[in-house]
Amino acid sequence: MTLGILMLDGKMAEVPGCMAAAATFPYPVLRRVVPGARPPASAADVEALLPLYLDAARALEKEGISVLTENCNGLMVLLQDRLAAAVSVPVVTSALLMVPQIHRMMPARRIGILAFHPESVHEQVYNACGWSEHQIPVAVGGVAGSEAWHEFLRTKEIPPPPDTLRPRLEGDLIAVGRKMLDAHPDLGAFVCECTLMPPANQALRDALGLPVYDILNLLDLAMRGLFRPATPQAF
Amino acid sequence: MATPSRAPLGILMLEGKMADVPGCMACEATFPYPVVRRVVRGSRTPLSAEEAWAMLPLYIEAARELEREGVAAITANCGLIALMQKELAATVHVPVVTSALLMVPDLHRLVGGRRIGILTFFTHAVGERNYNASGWSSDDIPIALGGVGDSESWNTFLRTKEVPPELRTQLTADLLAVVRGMLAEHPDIGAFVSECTMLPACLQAVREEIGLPVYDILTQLDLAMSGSFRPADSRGGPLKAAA
Repeated sequence: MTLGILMLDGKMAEVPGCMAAAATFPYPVLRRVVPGARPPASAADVEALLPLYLDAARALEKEGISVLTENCNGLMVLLQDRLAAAVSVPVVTSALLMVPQIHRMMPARRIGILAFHPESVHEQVYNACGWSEHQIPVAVGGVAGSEAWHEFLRTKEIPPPPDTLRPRLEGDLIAVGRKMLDAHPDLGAFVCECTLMPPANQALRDALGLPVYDILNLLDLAMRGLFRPATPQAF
Repeated sequence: MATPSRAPLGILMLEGKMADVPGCMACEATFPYPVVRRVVRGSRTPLSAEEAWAMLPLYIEAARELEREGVAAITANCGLIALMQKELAATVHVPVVTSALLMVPDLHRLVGGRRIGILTFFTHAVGERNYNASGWSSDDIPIALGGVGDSESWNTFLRTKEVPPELRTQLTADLLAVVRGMLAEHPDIGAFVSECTMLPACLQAVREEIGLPVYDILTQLDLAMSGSFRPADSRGGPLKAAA
C-alpha cells in the first residue's frame, strides 16, 4: 500500500509533519511533482490546474497507489469531486472532508477550523467538502497575524535549537487556539485545514487538551482501509 | 521534553461474555493505545431497538463516568446502541463513536460518489433507521448491503465467541464470498464499510484479497483517538503508545 502525493512545483517544507518530509508517514509514499503547478490564489487558478492534476493523478494511479492526496490543501478541494471521480482510489484534498463525521462524534459541540488565512475558508469550501456552516456550528481562526508563521511560510524551514522559530510557531498557534476557545466555550475539537500546521499540532493538542484533526489524521484513516490488522503493531 | 501520558479509549461493554479475539472490542491486542473497559451494569444484549433505547440512561451514566476518568474518546460494543449515537454523544465532551457507519458520507466523497458496500452480520437488522442515526440516508448515498448471517461458521463464532484456527479459515472464506458476491452484483463499489464489530477479526485477509479499502469500527476509533495523539514524526507509527 502506497500513498500518492501530487506536489506543487517549487520548494516545499521538508519538516516532519509536512507532505514533503519522509518522516511524516508510517507507510510508503510516492510523490509526483505537477510540472508548472504554482500555489493557486483563486478559484480560477484552481480550475486552470485541473487538467494538469487529472493527468498526474492518473499517472500515479497507474503506478499502483492506494490513496491520492496533494500537498496544497485550501482551495484545491474545489477539485475534490472531479479528481475522485477520475481515479479508482480514495482521494483526499482537504482535512475539512472529515468535518461531518467529527461533528457526529460530538454533535453538541462547535468545531474550530484552523487555517493559515482564516478568510480563505468559507461556505464555498465547506460545500465542496459536502457540508454547510448552516448545519454544523464552526468557528474559524488562523495564524496569519503571526510573524513566526510567515517566516515558516517564506523559508519552508524550522531550524533546530538554539533557533527559536519552533517554540514561536507552537506558542503562536496555541495562542490562536486559546483565543478561539475563549470566544467559543462550546468548542469541542479543532480541524486543521492548513498543511503547514501539522509540525506544530501535537503541541496544540497537549496544551489545550482538545482533539485536533488534520490532514495526516485523515490520510492515516484513508490508508487504514487497506491495512488495519486485528493486532496492530506500529500502524 | 517529556511525553504526556496518553488518555485511553473508553469502551462501554454489555454484561455477559464477549468475544476475546484480536479485532474484537474485548481483546487487549486489538488496540495500539490504552483502553478502559466499563461494563454497563444492568445492561443486556438488546433484542430490539426498544430494548436498546430503554438502556440509554444506563449508557449515559456510564459514559459520564468514563469522561470523568479522563478518556479521550468513547465507544460501545453493541451495534444497536448506535441508534442512540446523537443522544449519547451530546451528553459528554469527548468524541463518541458507536458505529463505523458514521464515516459513510465523508467516505462517499473520497471515492468520488461511488457506491459504498456495507458489511454486516444479519442484513435484516440494518437499514435506513441505522443510516439515519449515523447522519445520512440511502436516498442520498448509493449503497449495497451484504451480510454473513447465512454462514454456518459466522453463526458458530456468534454463539461460541471463539475462533479456533480451523474456524478462522472458514470465517475468512465465507466473508470473502459475501464480498465477492456484492462486487459481482455492484462493480461500482468504491469502498466497503463494516458495520459489525465481529468482522474486524477477519477483515485484513479480505483487504488483501480484493484490493479495495475496507473501513470498520477499528479504523474509525483509530481516527477518533488520533485527534489527541499523532506525532509529526511518525517513523515509530502514529498510534504507537508513547513510552
